[in-house]
Amino acid sequence: MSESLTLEELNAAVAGSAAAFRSVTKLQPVGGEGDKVFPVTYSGGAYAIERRALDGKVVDCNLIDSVQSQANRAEEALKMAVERSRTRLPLIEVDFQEANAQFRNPLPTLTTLDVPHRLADAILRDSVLAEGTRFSKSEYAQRWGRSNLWNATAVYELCPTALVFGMWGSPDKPGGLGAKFERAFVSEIVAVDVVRNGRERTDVEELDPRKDLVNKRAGFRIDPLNASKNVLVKQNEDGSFQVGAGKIRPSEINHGNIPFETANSGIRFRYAEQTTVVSLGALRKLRFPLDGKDDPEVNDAGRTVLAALGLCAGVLASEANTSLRSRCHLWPVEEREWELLEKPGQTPRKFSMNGDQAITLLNDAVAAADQVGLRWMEEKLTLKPSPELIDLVRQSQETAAREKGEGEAK
Amino acid sequence: MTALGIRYLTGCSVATDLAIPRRPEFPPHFGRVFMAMAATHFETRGNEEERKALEWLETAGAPSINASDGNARSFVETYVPVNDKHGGIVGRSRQPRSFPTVRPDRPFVYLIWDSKVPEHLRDGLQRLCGKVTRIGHSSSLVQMWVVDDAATIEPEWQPSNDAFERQMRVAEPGTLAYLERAFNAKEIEEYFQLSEALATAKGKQKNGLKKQIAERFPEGMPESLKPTLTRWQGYARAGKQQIHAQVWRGPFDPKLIVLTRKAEQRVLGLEATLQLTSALRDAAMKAAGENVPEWLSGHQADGSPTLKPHAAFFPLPFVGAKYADGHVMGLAMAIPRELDPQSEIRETALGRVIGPLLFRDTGEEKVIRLWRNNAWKWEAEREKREYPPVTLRAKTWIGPAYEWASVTPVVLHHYPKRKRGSDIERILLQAFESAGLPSPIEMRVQPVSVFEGAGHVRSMPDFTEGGQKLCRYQVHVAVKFPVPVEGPALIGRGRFRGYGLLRPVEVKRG
Repeated sequence: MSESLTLEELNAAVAGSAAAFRSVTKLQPVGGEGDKVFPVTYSGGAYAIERRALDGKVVDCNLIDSVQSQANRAEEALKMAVERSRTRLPLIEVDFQEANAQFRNPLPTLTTLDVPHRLADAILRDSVLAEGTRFSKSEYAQRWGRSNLWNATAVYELCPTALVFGMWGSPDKPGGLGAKFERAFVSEIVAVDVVRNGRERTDVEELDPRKDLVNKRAGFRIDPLNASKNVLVKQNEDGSFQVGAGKIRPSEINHGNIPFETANSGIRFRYAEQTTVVSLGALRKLRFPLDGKDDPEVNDAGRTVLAALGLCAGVLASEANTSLRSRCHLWPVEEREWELLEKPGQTPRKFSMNGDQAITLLNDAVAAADQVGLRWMEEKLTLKPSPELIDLVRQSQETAAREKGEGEAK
Repeated sequence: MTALGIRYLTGCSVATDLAIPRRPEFPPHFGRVFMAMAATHFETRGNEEERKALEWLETAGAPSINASDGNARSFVETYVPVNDKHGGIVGRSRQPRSFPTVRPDRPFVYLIWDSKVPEHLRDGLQRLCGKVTRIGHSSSLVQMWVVDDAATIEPEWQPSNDAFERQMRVAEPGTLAYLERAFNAKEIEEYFQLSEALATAKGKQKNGLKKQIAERFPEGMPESLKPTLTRWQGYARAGKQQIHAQVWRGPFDPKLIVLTRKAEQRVLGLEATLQLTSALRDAAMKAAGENVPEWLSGHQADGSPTLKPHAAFFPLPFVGAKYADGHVMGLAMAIPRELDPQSEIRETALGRVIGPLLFRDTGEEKVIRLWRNNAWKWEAEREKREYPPVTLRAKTWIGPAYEWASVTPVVLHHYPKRKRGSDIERILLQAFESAGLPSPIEMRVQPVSVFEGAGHVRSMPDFTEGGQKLCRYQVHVAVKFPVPVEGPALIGRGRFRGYGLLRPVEVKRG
């Protein structure tokens, strides 16, 4: 039987010696148990496979969504909650609206929840404040650039998610040196007891001179026009084409059947398992001095906020981001519970919370931290890309377009 | 007794095996655990009690380990976006990274020592354990603690210097001090304090601090250096250690002399084995000067073959891995375990005879030049990297191991009377005995090596030394011995020139 997690209990867990909150939840495809699902693929279309002992035998398992991808989805879920005014987070954003006039492909506004390296990302580094100061030279950057475990106050104020999902970088020195904060949030989805959908060749296929293609090419995107590969075309600079005048096949201008070459064509499984851990131990390493003073009450308040943020991210992600990729949409088939891992060997206490409860917990924790003087940045900080960054993006897009044969820029 | 418990919170361990980088390390080596504890102590500015607990732990010796088997996740590479070069959000290049992962059958590991942690250090040890949050990669989250009753934990791996299956890094006296130097906490702390002061300083004071920082830290913010532990300890399964306390030690000293081909040299395959080993032997003989001992030349004073053990020369080819092609990465010399007891002591003999091959009179290392007429030329040097490729590590070729298989074909001492497996096996059994190895309890004879890249017997030229009338019948073999055998292991005719070279099959599986 699980309880509701109150702020007091969360505070006590953070201030105590519990190792982590952990949630292990079973998922099934939304298409129903046994439906085919496409896991994450790696170089060459390979799946990450493993085995585990289950019910006295060893079964095949398959990674469906990685630690890094789950962190991205958690940040996306937080961003959605902010956009819908369900909660507030300090955000730094880079506004490309003006710069988009110079780009072939417009870019959205990118926030610290979008960019790969969070507060330390090169995009922020190479953007400027409203008055023209480079972010990397600004007072914000100078403060967070001096951060470490013993003084994480500036990072807490500007980008608390960096303390939950991890960050390593410096405001102005590229290459990953500088302030280093390990991740406190780790989540992964693994399919258990898997049947892979690679198939054996039939006798007829064995006789086919193209049999290696038949086995490898597990599927086609079928062209409804049935454009023939033997009708050659010539592509003009403006994107139009002439039939019979050139030397390229229709498939090169995206007409025709498109095979995908991989022996991996989805999996079926007994169930998928999402394991999410919020490490309280990692958060306890952080300190948030105010005006040079280290106060245990302030430290605990800050850590409680971050714990609530991690839990909130996990809960919101599981509610909002269940469609992981094309043909990989999973749904929890049991209520998500969070175990508080205290003394090994002891039965852990269990808590449950939905998105609204998680957001309330987060908001209450932020308010409590506010009371002891530890505050998030109030207003969103908007940067604009520097002229060099604009130029770099523009040239990169032009180069990409030329490589694809898409003609000159507008 | 003392035991430390580790619970893997996500059910997985993510840590790279330093000996074989694409493979996960599990169970976690004591050395890795100690490093995690020390890093936590430094990061959290742990107190004197924690420090003394660590100092006690590094003197406690190699622990026994209770850990289940695990299943490694298949090796995949993830491409992560870089942060030093970018095209904005377009065209940011990505670097490949891998996260070797294993899911143990039980997510708990225990390190167990016979000695008891002193009572006055127990609290410090427990407090430090409670602060350790990961062992390995940042996603390898753990909970760690001091076990209340260590006597209830049964070891599954025990330290063993004889019949060991694994080698694991361990901490030893002095490790903490070494890690402290590598962590560089004092310098980093000093830099941060000066930087904090600079942030609020004004005028002359600001200029003074800037100058002080620039002079004190001309390279910028000091960094922690990545430490490496180099002390390894053999481990055996607790049950097996009792059954097989003795390892069969082959006729050669396991301390091989390994030479690595310099990168820009021509690539040669296993078919050049005899040419390479003959060239190396010639170089060694020439360097030894006038009085070449029997154990090096393989011949008595009258020129007849010696009956005593003598040096073997063999290739170190890239075999037994997914894209292995058998190209020769280096060469090895194996010295007989027993030199002539009446001659000078072993170290002096080796220094006098082998020293000139490897070193100049000044002590400087030599580049060894090998060649075969105009066919090829090689420059080789002594392998001395801390983490050489697997192929160039002596332990790849010496085991000890129960199962071995041939990399270069075994040349039979005489032709089989009937081309039936049983006669070939009979001859092979004699070959094992001649080579100073035990009789295998299982043997498979086949035309192709079990190691990828080693090829078919027909891809190796006949071994023609000793005369045209001698047997040239070659086979590949895979065997299992009744006891672990310590190599290097070479059998059959030509074994002193690199034919009949065996390698532990366990390394292949890694």
